Amino acid sequence: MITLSGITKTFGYNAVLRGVDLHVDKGQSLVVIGGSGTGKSVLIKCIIGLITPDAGQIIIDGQDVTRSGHDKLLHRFGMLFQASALFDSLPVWENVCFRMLRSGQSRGDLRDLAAEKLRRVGLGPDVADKFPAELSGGMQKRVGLARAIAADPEIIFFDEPTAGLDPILAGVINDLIREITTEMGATAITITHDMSSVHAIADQVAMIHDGVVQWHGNIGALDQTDDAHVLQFITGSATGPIPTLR
Amino acid sequence: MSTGHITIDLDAIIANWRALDKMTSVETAAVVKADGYGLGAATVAKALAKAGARRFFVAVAEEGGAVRNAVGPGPEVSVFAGHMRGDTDTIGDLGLTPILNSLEQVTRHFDALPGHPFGIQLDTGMNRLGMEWDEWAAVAEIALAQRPTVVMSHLACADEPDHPMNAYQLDVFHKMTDGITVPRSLAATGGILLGKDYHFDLCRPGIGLYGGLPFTKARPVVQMDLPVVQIRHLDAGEVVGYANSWQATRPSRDRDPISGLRRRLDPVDVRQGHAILRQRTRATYWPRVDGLTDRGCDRPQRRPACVDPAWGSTNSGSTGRRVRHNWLRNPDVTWWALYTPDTRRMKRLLAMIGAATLGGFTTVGRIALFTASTFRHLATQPFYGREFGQALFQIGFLSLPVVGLTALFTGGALALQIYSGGARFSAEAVVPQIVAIGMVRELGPVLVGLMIAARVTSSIAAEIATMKVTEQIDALVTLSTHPMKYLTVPRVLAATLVMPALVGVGDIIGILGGYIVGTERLGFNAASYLQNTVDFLEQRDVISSLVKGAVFGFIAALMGCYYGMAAGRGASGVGAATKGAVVAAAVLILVANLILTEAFFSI
Repeated sequence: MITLSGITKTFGYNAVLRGVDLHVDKGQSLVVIGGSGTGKSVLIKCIIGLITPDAGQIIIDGQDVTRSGHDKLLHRFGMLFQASALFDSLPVWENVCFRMLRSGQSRGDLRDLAAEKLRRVGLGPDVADKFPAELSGGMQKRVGLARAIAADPEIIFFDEPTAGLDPILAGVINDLIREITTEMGATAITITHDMSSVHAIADQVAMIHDGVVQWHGNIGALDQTDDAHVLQFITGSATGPIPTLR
Repeated sequence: MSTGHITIDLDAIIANWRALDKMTSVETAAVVKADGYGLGAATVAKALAKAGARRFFVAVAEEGGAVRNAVGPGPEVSVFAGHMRGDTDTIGDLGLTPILNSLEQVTRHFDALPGHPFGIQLDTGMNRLGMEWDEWAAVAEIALAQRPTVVMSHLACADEPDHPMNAYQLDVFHKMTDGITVPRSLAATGGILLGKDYHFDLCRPGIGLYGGLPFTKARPVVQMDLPVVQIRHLDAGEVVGYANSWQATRPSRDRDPISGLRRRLDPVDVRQGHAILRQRTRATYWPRVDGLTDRGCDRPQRRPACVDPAWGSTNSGSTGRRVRHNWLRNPDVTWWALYTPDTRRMKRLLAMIGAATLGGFTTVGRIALFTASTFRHLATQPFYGREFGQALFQIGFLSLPVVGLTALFTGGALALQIYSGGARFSAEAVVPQIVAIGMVRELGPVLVGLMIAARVTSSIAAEIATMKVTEQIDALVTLSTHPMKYLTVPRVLAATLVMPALVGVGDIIGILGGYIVGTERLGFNAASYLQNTVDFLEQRDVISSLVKGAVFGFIAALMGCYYGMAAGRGASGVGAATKGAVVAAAVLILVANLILTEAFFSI
């Protein structure tokens, strides 16, 4: 479904990505882990087309989209942003159905559709007419999730889905992501440094460090690996190959 | 026992600090740069804070975090490297005090963190860091008005008490700072030992705390235990190490130096299997040691050699708390200023002019591209009608009160001015005509434009910048919506279309203000006042007013959108975007006003 080869991206003197190779099959859930500031977000933004890589190739569903062509694919994408990135000026239901607002469907139908998607993420219909600022962080995350899945995308990106949530809420969001992507049959790419997300969401895990994929394998192989980078990351140890001053 | 380790005597560090503190009658800080000279900045700073040190110095802002965590919020943590690009958040969040080294840093600091504490470093001849005469002369008044925590400089040759450079630098420092009332600091360890003249208000020892020269009475701090793998015997003329870095001049004997380290760590003494290493060089320069060559002893040793890099010759007697520390892995932290040839001042000046010019052209070019992009998206589908309607309401309707008040009071004041000014040459009667022409041609459009710049440009810039910072712009793109079409086009179009109406309202209310003052206060006849106004105004006056309004509206909204979209990261990015947008809009409105006035009314 998605194949990256030799992706590099440099900001000024800072080489964030130095040749990333990755592949995700259709319907698989890939979780990209790595420390803060290792280029995970840049990678996901390259795939979705928010950032153009300096070199390398991105192939989505057989099409080379490296330097253009994202526009035609965007309707097949959904993305949950780190801080939800809901539009403050619009009520929740317009946020959820934002993509369809100009599709010609009546606003009443769209509102019903939004209520349906909100129900799927565990929110009642009363939330639909509120504004994002009136919601808690956990509820905003759910609304962001509802928006990401509203148009039944084939590929969904999750950027730090549990950032800023307590462990209980994080667990709920993780389970929601897993259930929804499975029932939609969507291909999912998640970036996180939360190991609980990894275990809940991943079929495949890729560890990115120093701008390259250090380790890539099935979730089952993650706990067996003796890769020093992965071990240090999983155990959260201050000593190891990954420097702590980043 | 195949690796080395060192033992750090924290009590000795405290004792050294206290001893140095006692030599002066002024405050004594502690330098913990380069991770506390390789010994762990946090551990050292914590111990010294308990002993009473209230000021700490680190080399770069990144080091400040560990020290701030260790000492808590109270003590001052200063950064020698100053306020470098990208350091703003670190300095602000951790409450660090940057020691500003250049005009550029002063500008950056005052711009990014106004009111945040800072120090100043001057260069008195070492040519490492700090401002020289010309730069200091340029900023001294402004900088001193903000009360820096310290004005400091650094001695180049303080290790040698008789060196003439010391007196020279002292003299220069006096000339640069005499008469100022903020605390001054010149002395590090060497300066403290030079005597009272060098102490000023603050001393800041570094190497002396860690037992290094030139503080000969320091207590040893660091003890290094290294296993001896092999003892070699050397004949005269044999060479040692990489690049044959040392050659034996005579056969090895007892009590001879360890050869491999000689060039960097000297002198070295060896007694009975203990390698005792007297430190004359800075701890930050400890080399990576992957093998020692020891030709000191003729017979095999079973005990590990023990290298004591601090002054003193024993490896025992250290009773303090001990911290194991992997010394050999400490990175060298170096941060010396770049050396440039003697023409550097001229080059620096030219470079600053060049950078400012390029920066200006870059901004102009980007705004031009942004404008072109706005027109392109205006001309193509889709068009977001709801956003356009909301923008019309926000920019047009909600601006009416402020526009009305501004115009009303300005029109009234204008009438009074013209009346009292006109009285000087018996022309009081022209009040209605001059108020009308002044308001419609000039004050109406300009004042409404400036009020819109304040009210609308700022809110557009802040809103879009916040959307950028919180990834809402990215979210728009992923939802197949172009931010230029969704955010910029509706706002710019609405402002351009609605501003003529606002200016028209402003013109009328301004004339009304003049009318009220004229009839109620200055005794004009109501009917003839209005008749004079109507008779005097030409169609050209009104059209120019409305055209100016449209142009100013375009500028105000465009600047808000451009600066919002170009915002940097974080809350300071939003603030900077808003400020930049309002300033640019106001200036461009005034420039456009002059150009349009010339176009409409030049004869």
